[in-house]
Amino acid sequence: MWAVLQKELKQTARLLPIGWVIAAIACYLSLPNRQSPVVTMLLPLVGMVSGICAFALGILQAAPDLNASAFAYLHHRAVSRSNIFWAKTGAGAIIYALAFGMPLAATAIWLSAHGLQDYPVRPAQVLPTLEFVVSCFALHSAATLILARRASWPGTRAYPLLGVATAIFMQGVYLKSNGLHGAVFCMPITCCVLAWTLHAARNAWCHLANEPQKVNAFRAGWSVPAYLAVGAVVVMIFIVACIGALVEQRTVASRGYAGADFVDAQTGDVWISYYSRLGEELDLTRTRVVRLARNVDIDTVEPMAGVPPTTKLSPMLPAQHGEGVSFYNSDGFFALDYRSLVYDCRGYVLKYVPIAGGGWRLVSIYDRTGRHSADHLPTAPFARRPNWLWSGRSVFAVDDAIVQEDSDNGKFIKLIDAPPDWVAYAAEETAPTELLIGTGDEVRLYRLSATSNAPAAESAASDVSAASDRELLTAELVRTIRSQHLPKPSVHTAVTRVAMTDVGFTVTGYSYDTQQRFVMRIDNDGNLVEQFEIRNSSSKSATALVMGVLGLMPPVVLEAADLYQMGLAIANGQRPVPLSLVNTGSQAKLTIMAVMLTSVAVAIGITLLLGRRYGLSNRKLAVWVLATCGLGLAGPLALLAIYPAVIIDSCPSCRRPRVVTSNRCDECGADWLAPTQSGIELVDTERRRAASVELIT
Amino acid sequence: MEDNRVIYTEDLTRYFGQQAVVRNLNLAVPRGAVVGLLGLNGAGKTTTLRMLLGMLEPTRGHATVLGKDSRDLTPEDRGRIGFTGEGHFLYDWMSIRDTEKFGRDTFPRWDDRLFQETVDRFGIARLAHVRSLSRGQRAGVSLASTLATAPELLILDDPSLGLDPVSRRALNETLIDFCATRQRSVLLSTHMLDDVERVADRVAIIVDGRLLVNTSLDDLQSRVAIWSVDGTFDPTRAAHVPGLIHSRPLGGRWMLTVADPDAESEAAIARLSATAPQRVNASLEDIVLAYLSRSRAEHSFYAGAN
Repeated sequence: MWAVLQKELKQTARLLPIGWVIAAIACYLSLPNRQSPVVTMLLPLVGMVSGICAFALGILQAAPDLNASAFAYLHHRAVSRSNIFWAKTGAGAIIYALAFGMPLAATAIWLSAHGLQDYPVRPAQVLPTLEFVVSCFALHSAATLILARRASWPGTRAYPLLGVATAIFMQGVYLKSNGLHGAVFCMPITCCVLAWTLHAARNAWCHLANEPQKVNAFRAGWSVPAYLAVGAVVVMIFIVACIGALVEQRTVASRGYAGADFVDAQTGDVWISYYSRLGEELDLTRTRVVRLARNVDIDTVEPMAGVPPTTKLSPMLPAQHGEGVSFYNSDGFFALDYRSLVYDCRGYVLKYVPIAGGGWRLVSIYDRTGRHSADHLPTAPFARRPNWLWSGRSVFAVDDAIVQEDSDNGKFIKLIDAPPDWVAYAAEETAPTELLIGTGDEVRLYRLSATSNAPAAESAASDVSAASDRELLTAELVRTIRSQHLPKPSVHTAVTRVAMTDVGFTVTGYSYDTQQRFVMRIDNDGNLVEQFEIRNSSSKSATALVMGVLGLMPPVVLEAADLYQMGLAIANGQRPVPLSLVNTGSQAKLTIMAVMLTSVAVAIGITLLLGRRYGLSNRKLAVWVLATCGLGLAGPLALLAIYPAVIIDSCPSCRRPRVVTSNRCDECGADWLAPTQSGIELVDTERRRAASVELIT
Repeated sequence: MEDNRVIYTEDLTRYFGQQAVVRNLNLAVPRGAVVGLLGLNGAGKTTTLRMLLGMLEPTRGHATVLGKDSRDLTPEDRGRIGFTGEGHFLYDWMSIRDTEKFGRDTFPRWDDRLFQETVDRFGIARLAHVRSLSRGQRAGVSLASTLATAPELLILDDPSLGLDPVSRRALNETLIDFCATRQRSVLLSTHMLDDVERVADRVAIIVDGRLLVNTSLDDLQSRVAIWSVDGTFDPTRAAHVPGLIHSRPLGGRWMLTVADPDAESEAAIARLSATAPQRVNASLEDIVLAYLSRSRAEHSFYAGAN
């Protein structure tokens, strides 16, 4: 094995400089700069090129030695095929590790030298990328498996790539925004994917590279067929996604879209602007303002020619909930906001300023107590990501309060001492503003006013925003509504817009379960006045059609999504609701069920046809039919991938077509007869004697 | 009873797509024998050898090599079988020294001295790279690598391709020496009929995937006869000749090659022409070409174009 390893290392070492250059360029392009002070592109960019390089390396290592002459030269030795595979893979791993390990190590050193003072970076940011690069090595094995297993390229040859590429892509998406926690969580998945891929590739190299015709992929153990089945499922998901996108595109013009929400301050009625599409563009000439009401389909209701003059419509305030929506593009280490503030996921807000000649400089660090110098990390980190509410007045929604920074000493002054579930505010720079806070069963409306402690002359002379920065605010509680009906943000529900009116509290939200927007009105005493879904028939029927395409999905995938959804709910301390019980609308549900049952029936029919054609026993056929019930149309695809193409020849006895790999004819039961003797065959007497002895025995 | 066959195939069949490239092949190579495997390009020789070495799985039937099913050959079994493939594959980027080291590290019975002597015979520098070798030198290194493994069985696929006459003669002598103890065997696939005539004990001829001849050279030559018959057109189109292998025109006469001729076939030939047919000596080349010509026209390319 060592000799083969050495040979492979020598053979592939010439690729190392190319790998270095590619990896180094990817790392360099990911480094922070004046335009982008963070390294959020490190994982996508390095991950993408590492995946391509791993796959290309696998192809370059496997393809030459699968040529018949080279295959015989390499494999006809006193070395097992398994050892040859491991030597190849080992050499590939060493070259791959050197190609990407060194540039990543250099990147980590660079980040260590420049963070946090010059850029919001840490060397640990390299770790998720490193793990992703390790995962991408599975594509090396996938390449080996693709080449070792003979199949047609337009057919099922690429299946091994699809499964692993999808798993790696999903892992990359998760790693991209979950930092070290994501890396630790993904570690077992990385190990499993790598182990499975290596095992399958090794088995394919040892058992399938001989171009077997008689046996199927099960000869190479379960890993290869399971791998191919996953590939078939991915193909089916891709097909469903394409059909869904097509249907979506076809129906998009027929849909109405609900836009911004307004509330009548006197009645609490909700109005929405409603528009439709004209081809790919919004048709603004058909924008209508519609008053929402229970059982009223906004598609069919006659729009008001104009809002009645007595109606005073106010825009509803967009609610913020969840952690720090002000900070976006988080990679699990740092998150940006639109200014030069960066949230360090260890619990600090970092303030950077651009410096002359390019680059950035850390000028201050915020923790729960306020602003600190940039010399060292303070000791009271935020428990969760804060929200920056006003750009003008340094107001944060922090762990348990709404606070404002005192510009003189940098300390946080509490404006409102309550942990908010959600916050909504009217953002105006100079006028007093309103703040709506939802906490548990309470909604409170505050009015904010400035109590300037800055000299008036200075304030007047200086820039407005700069003067505003120095103003301290006071929060005056105007009203409180207490109600047990208040919607709370969760994985099931989003509170999108809120408004406090003369008659109570009005909220519009979105139900993830029903995929519907809803309106809820609560009076001043906390009683639920009404709650209804916004009905939109054109959108609903189009949605039902798009949802119906989901019926083509392998049932096992839908079930897995169901389990994931319920697991997520349990993890969030909520009641798990199976998707099948979720009210997605009877039309959509019926369409999904009809499509699913039809597709499974068709799939079973195809499986039976293919199974008979492949000569599967009744027991195997029954297993495949059962599997098809779970896999849907992916079942026949998997069967096609796992079993080799059937070759048919004419039976020398009955002249009917028969499978060449079976010894007995299915039609007449005859063995294969020796070719007809033409009288010119010359076999020596010794041979003839031996043949006759065999015949007798 | 001890099985004296180092290679034995039973109804060995292989399809590529819808085409059966090898059909019901029953071949035996006795211990101590040199068997020449003959056939046209595409007849199925290389496919057969690949199946014997376990590099390609049979569609039906099986092959036994050194007492093992060819699909189950272990690394130790492979160490006992020397193989030189068609085209003398070697890694271009390796030097001769690297090639030697690779062979030494992957074959337990590697013979350094034999390798060096064989390479020296071709006048190849040890530090030379394979890519810089001529075709003949490459063949020399390839054969040296095969012989240095000290095999019990040699399977050679067109080994003399690219060799100069001197090297070819050396190769033939090497094969004769190799089998001198009658304990080691050679399966030699080649197009060089004179090589076969020189070194082989037995000959096997594959035509369109079917094994038509599998016998000793002497037996073959004694059982095939050639008659010369007068005629402008092929006389065998009008009348059946039992055992007729092939008929070809030659200077206004027709040469009829017949297997296992008996009184019936001689009578049939006599009826073909007014004049008495003449029996001529049949060389190995005549016989083999008669078999091979069954599946392909042998006349001038220009004649075909006309």
